[in-house]
Amino acid sequence: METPEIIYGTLWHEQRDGKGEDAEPLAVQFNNSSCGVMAVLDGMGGAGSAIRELPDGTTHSDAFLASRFVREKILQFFQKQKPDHSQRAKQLLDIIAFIKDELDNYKETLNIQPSALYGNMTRILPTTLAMICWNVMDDNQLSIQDIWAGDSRNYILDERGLHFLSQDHTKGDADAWESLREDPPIINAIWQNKSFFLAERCYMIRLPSILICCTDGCFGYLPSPMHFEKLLITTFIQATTMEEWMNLLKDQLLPISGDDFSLVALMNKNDWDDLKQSLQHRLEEVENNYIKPFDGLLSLQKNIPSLQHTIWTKYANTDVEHLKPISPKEDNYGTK
Amino acid sequence: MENQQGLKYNVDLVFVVDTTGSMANLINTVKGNILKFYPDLKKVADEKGKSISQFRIKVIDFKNYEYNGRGAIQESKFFTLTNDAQMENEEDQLQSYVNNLSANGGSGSREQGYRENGLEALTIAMRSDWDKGGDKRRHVIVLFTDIAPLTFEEGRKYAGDNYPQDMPANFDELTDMWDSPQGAVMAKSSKRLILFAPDCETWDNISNNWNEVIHWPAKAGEGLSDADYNTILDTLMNSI
Repeated sequence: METPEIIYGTLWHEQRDGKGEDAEPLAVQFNNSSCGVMAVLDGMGGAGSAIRELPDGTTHSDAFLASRFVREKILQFFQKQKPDHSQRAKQLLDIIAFIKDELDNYKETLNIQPSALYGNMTRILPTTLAMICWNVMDDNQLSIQDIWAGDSRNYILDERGLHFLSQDHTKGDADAWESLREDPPIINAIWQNKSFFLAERCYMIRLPSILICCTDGCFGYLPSPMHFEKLLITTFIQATTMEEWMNLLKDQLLPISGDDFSLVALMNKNDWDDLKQSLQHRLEEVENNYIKPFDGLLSLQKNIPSLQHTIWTKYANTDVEHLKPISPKEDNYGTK
Repeated sequence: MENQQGLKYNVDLVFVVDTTGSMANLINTVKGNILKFYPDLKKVADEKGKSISQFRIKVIDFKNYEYNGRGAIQESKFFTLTNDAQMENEEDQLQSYVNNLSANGGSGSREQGYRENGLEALTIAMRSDWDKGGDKRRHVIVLFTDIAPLTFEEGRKYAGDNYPQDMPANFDELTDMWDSPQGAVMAKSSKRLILFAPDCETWDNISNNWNEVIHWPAKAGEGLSDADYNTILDTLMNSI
């Protein structure tokens, strides 16, 4: 069997140039190896709105600084030790300890004093993280370590559709539908002044598949989670290269997203044509079973949340037996 | 900056103001803060490309039921500040209402530690007829006081017949009204509470244990720096 040729695509947009809270996506394949790391990070603008002055005199919000700083630290970590799935738990604990120590040091460097404001709405250097560490295995499979904190998400897109690999850390464990409707507060993310955890699941993924990490600016302004799948598939089918796919996605998101957005996608280059074909079939299914009924309700200009929710429930309950995690439930690895 | 996405952001602000005599030297500052809070918030929103489609503002002022009877807590209507011809009129009404606030009398007794019915005023604010329109919403309560509040149990005991029947039995019930999945009276994603109130057990309990609260621990906002004021505005608007 041919060895997979892994390719990445990245998408990064700031609503205001130079002020974006999303870091540039991380997309690394380690030299001469069949493993890598992909991630997105979204600095939390509400909780991290305090403004800091850097040694060079420039000023930025905690949200801006946190996403970029943690991205850099994750990259540093994996440059020293490649993702090793036989050591995954230890490695994850090491990453958390490393990030925590570095955030503590960064707080000192920036001379951040305790806030005079009480309450749990403000955090020091808060950012979300959605990250996948991957290893190419024999038999056309990827072993993946799916890691997240906050409301940035990991997905897998395959012939059966778009599947969630992460569950937002929001109040009340809101699902994707509730998150879109209610915009619930985030209860866990990476930050300096409180404990936090990284959630983890591990999967063995059969190719052809596309792994995706993205921030809420990508999916948070669409009418439903089904529309995000449709957006991903329609643009993928139109594209002939990864770069073209990312450009098409950006063109579609620009007029609708009210936030910064970032996304990184990974696939086997040799699967492009097969995936196009199978996703064409899936697109028809999504269109006929979910989008048309949903948009039909919207066009009635009536608020019919229960019917919309029924469509979402049917969509969310799609069989994902083939994506059973290696560990039955996610593990949470946290700071003290 | 125009909101290219065409999203409608609706913001409701309810100001809760202690107008007892002890606030006399602070009331003009508080009135000024109320009248500049919404244009400042609007400016922050505009800078972030989040054009607010509708601002509604209400004012609740409170004293002490024992000394002021059933009229101890007064509330205005919601003044609607939208971008239409009616806005100017509503804005004038709001300014007039705020300018007419005066701090005099009505504090509790020495036995009560000169405390007032701040928790009852907060309860009334939480029960406001919050906006349900727009694509994204913020429902913000901003409370100004210079003193700890009476507990519900004390308030009921001191005020006797003057005390309203529909108040929470105790602080735990109020906490449930804010935070519990069953009892919450405000939408979990929209609600925010800003306290400009001194360090004391009750206000600290709120800021330590309730979600979505920012507390500036000083009398009615005294000594708030520009940086912290901007942090509050940014915190409110960045997460919407």
